[in-house]
Amino acid sequence: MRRVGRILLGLGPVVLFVLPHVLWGRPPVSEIPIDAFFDDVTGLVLVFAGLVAWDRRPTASTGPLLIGAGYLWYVGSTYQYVPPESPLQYVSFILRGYYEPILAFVILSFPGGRLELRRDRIAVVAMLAILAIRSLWRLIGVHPGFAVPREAPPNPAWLLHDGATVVRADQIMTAALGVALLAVAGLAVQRRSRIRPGARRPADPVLLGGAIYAAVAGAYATTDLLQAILGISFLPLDGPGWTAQYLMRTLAPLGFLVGSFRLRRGTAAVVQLMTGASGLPRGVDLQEALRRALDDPGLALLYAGRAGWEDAEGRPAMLPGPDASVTATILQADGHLSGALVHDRTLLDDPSLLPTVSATLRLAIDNDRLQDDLREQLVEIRASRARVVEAADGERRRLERDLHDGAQQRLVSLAVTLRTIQSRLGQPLDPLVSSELEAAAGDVRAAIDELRELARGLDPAILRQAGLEPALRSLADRSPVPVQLDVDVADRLPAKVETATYFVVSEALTNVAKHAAASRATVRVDRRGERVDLAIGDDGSGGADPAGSGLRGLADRVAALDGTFRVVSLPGGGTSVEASIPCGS
Amino acid sequence: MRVVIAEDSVLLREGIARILTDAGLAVVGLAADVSSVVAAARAASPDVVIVDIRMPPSFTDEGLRAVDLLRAEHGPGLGILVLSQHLEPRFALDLVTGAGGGLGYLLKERVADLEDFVDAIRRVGRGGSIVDPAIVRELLAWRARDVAGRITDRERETLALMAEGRSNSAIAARMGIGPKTVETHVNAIFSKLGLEPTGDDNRRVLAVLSFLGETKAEPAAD
Repeated sequence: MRRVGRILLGLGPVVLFVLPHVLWGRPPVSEIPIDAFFDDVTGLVLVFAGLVAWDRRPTASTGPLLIGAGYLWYVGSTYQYVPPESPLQYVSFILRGYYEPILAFVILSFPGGRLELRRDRIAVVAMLAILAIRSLWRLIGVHPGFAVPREAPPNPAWLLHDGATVVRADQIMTAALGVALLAVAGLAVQRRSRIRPGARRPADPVLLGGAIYAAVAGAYATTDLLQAILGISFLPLDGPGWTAQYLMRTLAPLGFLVGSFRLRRGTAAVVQLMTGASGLPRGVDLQEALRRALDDPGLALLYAGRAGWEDAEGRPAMLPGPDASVTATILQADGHLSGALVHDRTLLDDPSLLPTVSATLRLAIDNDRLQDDLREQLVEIRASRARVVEAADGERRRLERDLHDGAQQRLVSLAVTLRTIQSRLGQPLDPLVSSELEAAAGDVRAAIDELRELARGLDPAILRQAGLEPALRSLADRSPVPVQLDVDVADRLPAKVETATYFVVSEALTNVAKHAAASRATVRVDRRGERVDLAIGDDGSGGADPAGSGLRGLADRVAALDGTFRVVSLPGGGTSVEASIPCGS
Repeated sequence: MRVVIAEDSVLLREGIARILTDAGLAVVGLAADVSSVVAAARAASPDVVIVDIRMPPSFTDEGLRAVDLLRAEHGPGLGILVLSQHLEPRFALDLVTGAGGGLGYLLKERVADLEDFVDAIRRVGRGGSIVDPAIVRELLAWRARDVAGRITDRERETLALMAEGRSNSAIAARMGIGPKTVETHVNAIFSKLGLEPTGDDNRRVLAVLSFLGETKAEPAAD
């Protein structure tokens, strides 16, 4: 849509160029005098320069202003070839000259689009004021018989009848405009000295063309008055000199065009980069993209590391010194330092460029850093969760061993001792003593059994001694619900994977026995590449709560190994517990 | 009968030694870890080695390594009685049936059942296969569904004693019935459960244990 609008804007001057030939029978282009040709081409070049500048700096006013100036150029020159005494001719005559303050504005503000000095602003405002007064004057005073301006159209309002006064006043105002233009030429020369040598590339053609234009146009604007007062003309009004002044006036639009082409794409390219559909690149790629967008192959993106500046590849870096050919823009806000952009000094020329770039970069860098932090924390949390599970498993193993080698062992010894005492006491034994001994032996046996169950729940010895399949078979054997076991794991797996698998199956089968009212269950454990997949299903009543403490604990245990865990349990549809655990080394 | 005891707990090792000596067995070597039991078995040429399944240094399955080493060195002629605190029927079955004879798996507290314990040592020394009664009970519990209705309670009791590795006369004494009746029960069990009849005591035990250890049958609906 924007593109179409700009094409239409660009085509406008061509239409305006051709229209008079079609409508009012102007001579064919080949027969137009050279001066008139330059006059026509000027508007076209202005519009084209404006389109280029607008493309390079969409946010700066330069582009639209130049386009506007181009159109106003045509508005002001139309009176020369529209039918005499037509309202169009009248309007054109009154509105002639308004492109001048616009050109002055652009000359004194290119490429930033802002007038920096008060005197620049005064010059432009003065030109506008003079033009406004002259328009008003022409509205009420222009008369068909005016000799000057030479082709003055008839005035339907014709309120003023003293022709000589009206003409003189018009000449004075035009001359005043000329003086202002001469001032602009001087200001343009001054302005060039204010711009650092490195930044002159785009501004130079504008200032040079603009100064010449303003000087010539200003000088010519004063000729009518001077001639009327002094009776002589200082400037050629025909011949090669006349053609030459037209050529020199054309230097302004040409300068705008060249200057616009020399503008960096800058902000536009950066905005495009930042809002690209593929997201902002990171690290070295971001730096490369910025180099291209800002047309600065020496650009470097530095990050605020813990120990100092780091470049895009993480190596220590330094900011350029004050005498270096490059300078640095610190990316910082609210006392928070994000990074720095080391760049060519010419990037400073466009005052709107770096603030935009650095604000966006700051956000991008902070965002990347937050993401990195988050990722780091996630890794740390995962590792710590794994450590917690491992520590818990280790603690269970230690407890089991303590029970086994401590209490259980002592109880067995106690049982043996009791038996030995019993047999050494000989017969016949006091029935009371005998029954007490029997009771003691029974208690010891019961204690041994209870401790054994406790130890098995803490850490199944069979898992470590015989491996996953025998351990799972033992679980299936002990399950009150018949279990079809299908284990396809050839080698031993890492202990933590075996333990997790064992406890998932164990807990799932316990749930089947307790809650599912199932007639059968299936357990499938397969190793597929670097993962172990397990699935425990039953044909029971379903409706298990995945958030219940048992299943939740299993999910945590599996997640601690970076595995996935899923419970599907629809009422009446049985329960299926599935997990997949990575078992790569 | 000459016995070597490998048990890292001094208390228990001395207790066992006393029991065996009291029962008239010759304790010819004491060991507390794998290498010392292998050395003792080589030096004292025992009939039976008693091995605790958990020994130093890792206290996991050193005993099993000792069993492998002893088997490799002395062959099935050396009886081995594994003592364990784990009631893991599958594990015990694999160990005992895998050895093919001369190997027993008893829970540690069985040491306190003096007569049974000494009897088990003697039988292992003669090449018998022994599985702890508690394990047999659990095996029978798994197969209860299959066995129920197929054999009588007396036959079931006989099956359990067979699985423990007892001879017909021992079973008869236990159950207080005549050897002939035991033989009738045994024949009935073998034909009802579809086992291959055999006159060899040890092969009979292994057949029964294999039957009990079979994977539980699927429900009829399957």
